[in-house]
Amino acid sequence: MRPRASQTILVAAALAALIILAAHATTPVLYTAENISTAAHADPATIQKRSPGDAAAVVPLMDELLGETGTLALTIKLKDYESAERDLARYTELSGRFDRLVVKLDVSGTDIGEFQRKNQENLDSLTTLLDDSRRFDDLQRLEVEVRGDDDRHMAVVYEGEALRQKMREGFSAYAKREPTVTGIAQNYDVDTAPYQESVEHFAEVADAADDWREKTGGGTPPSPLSITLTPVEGYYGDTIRIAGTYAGGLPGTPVEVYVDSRLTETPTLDDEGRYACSYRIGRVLAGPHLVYTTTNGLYSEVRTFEALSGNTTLTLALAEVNQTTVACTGELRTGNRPVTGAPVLLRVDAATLIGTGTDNNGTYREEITLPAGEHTIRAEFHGAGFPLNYSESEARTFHARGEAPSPLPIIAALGALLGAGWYLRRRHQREVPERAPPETVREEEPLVEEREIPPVEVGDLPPRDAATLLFRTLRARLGIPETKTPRDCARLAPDHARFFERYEMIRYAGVLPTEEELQWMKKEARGDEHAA
Amino acid sequence: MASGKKYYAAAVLAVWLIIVTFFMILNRTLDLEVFFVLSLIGLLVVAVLIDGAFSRPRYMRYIGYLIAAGVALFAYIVVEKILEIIAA
Repeated sequence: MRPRASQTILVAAALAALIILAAHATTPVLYTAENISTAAHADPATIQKRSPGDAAAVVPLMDELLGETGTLALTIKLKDYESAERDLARYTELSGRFDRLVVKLDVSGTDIGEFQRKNQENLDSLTTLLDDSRRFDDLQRLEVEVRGDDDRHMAVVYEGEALRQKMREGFSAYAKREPTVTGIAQNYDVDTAPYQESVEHFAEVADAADDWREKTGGGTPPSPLSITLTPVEGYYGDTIRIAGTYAGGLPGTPVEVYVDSRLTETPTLDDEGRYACSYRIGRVLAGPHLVYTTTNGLYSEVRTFEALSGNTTLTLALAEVNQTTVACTGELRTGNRPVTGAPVLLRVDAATLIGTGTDNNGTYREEITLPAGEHTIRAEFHGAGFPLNYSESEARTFHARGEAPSPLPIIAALGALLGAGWYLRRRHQREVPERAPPETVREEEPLVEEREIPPVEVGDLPPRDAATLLFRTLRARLGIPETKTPRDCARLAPDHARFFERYEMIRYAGVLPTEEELQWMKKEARGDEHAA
Repeated sequence: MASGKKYYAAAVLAVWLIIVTFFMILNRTLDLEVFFVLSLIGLLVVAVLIDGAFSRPRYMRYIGYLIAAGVALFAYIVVEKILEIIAA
């Protein structure tokens, strides 16, 4: 290959490499095992380091959760409400920790996610059971006190009946979850015995309510306050109509409607003793929910409706706000309905989680400040507390350009560049002195002061070595430093220029000196007057 | 011999850069700043070793310019790091 072509290729390759490197100048860290941009670059060794023990903590936590259900149900059954409060607080705390772990490990779509949802429902059931049991105890005491006062006695009996039905419904829902929860737990070799015991304890508490009903006269006459639900099941956003009549009620009397023991509506009786209201299925867990009404100490029967799990769709769009900030916007919908007030998680680079929430239109917006570089962002909805299934958006990529570099380093670099240039220039000038006119050199001839040297003998040396010896001898005689080349010597001692030029030819051009030349050089080196 | 020295220097520098890259990969980090600083050190060492006592070939002058640019970039990195530390 021709030298010019190879040089061109080399220059082109060097320029290409420099351009590629320059593109990464603002983000010089091209790769670190801890900060990966794609799954292909994931380093399992460092992932373990990033979340030490996270994955390993899941199974022991599942074990603790199931163990806690057994303890809590037992303390409720034994009516040790103080201990039950403590157990419930512990169970709630463990459940919260488990929820966060499921989100952090991104396993909502697995059977562990299913276990987490069922556990939330269990927590809800046991919380309700504790409240109901406590109220039921109060009613039992009250029932003894008001015997003889028919009106008050009936009111207590009606409320007791409502509670009994509620506990019975609560138990059936709790027992219905048992096969699923047990199945998942067994997959991970978790001890399910305490959980199964909790179902038995729950059943005993519900049975105790049945026994009380028998003791208080068996069949309670139908409550004059009736209740009907239409429809009895629905998805998120559907409306359940709660209606009923109270024959003896005065028009305008308020009727309190309770859904899962929480007061949700207070309609009033019309002229014909009817009441009606609507309940929109919102942030409630999927599964059965209990509804009853009360007015003037009268309780209706307990009815249930089922909140069905609906699928969701989550969108994500990224818009650059400035060089380091990106606005994440999107919408959470189920069918054609927006999901309002729902928590949405933004997972940045599969590691960092940022929480936001949807507004009344089901849309969310969050601005995130990111370090320079490429980032992958994904929105996730984990269905927490909603009768909705998990969904996630498509992963979007955002390139944060980072803040503009500070001018100070640039100024410092320019200063250093100028300093380095000045230094090199000065050094270059010192090493290569300007060629002075010959007269000046002759005037400034301190370097070529002739010195007395011992006589030189060439002997049997080869001609070229002999020439070298004579050159050194003359250089030493003239007092020229040993660092000077023949050409330097010729410049410094123009009177002997012919000698040095001839020696240069011998030394570097490979010329072989003749005997006569050597003799002449010898005389020159010695400084014989006849040499010239 | 002089031109041979030039090629030896280039080869040694290339080997040094490969060693640096190898150890950076071994350390699971590819940082251009670190790579640049280690490359500059290699270039400085090679420049000192090939610099002759009696003559100054043209390529040495070019290496001088390269070193000057490298020193300027190095100064930029150092000042930036100092500013980062001060800001932290």
